Amino acid sequence: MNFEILSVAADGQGPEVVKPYTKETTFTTVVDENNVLINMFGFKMVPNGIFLDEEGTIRMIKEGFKLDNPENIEAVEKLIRKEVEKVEFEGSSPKSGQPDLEQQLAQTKYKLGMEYAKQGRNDEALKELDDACLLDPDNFTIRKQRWFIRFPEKFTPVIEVEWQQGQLEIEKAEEERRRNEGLVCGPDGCFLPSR
Amino acid sequence: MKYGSKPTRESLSRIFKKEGGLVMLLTQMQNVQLTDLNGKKVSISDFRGKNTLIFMWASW
Repeated sequence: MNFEILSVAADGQGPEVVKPYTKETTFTTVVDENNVLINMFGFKMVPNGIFLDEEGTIRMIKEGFKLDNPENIEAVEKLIRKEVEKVEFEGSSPKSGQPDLEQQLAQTKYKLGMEYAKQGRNDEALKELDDACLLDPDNFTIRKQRWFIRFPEKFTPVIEVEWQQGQLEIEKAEEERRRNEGLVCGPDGCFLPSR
Repeated sequence: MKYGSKPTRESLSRIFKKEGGLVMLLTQMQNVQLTDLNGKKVSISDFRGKNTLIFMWASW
């Protein structure tokens, strides 16, 4: 069958954290440390699926694509067999090519934050990531990297997925409260306006 | 889930126009080069000629 999987791990911490998950796999796994592909499609979370045909034409873009979802797998099978031209899922139309200004700013701050983190400058990293989260609150990849730096104990030795759910709710409520207080975000960061 | 019929040039260009900038996206994506777990460079364009599912995930 003329079909390949390219697995793309959006792991800012590099290949070593990815390797334990790819043992026994035969497909290629690459590491997208800077979220290049995720950002190109405007995805704010993982997992996601993109289907390219033999000519390299995009036939499916699915945020939240899951390998254990029968509907998702069926869609890929139909695309391989050329029974359909493209697959669209309800509520997952691809984002437009150009993210809005706040999201671009969030990405800039995210990159800066990750650079600081690489140099071990965690306080400066967290400041940038805090702003990035406020600018793009639905972006789970940014938020997760912030957790990784601020709460490393929640990621080693085991990744506490349930903790993430609870923490997400706490943070969202806090952000909502600050926004209601009149928080303004711009290139210099997020501030409460002085009275 | 909705399935389309057989692709035509017109229907594809309609999809791309509707979705805003998908063609540009495709061009950008073909140029993406990432590194595999053994340090080897892999380009999206290496998968030309094959049906490919790009599956994005993370260890976290």
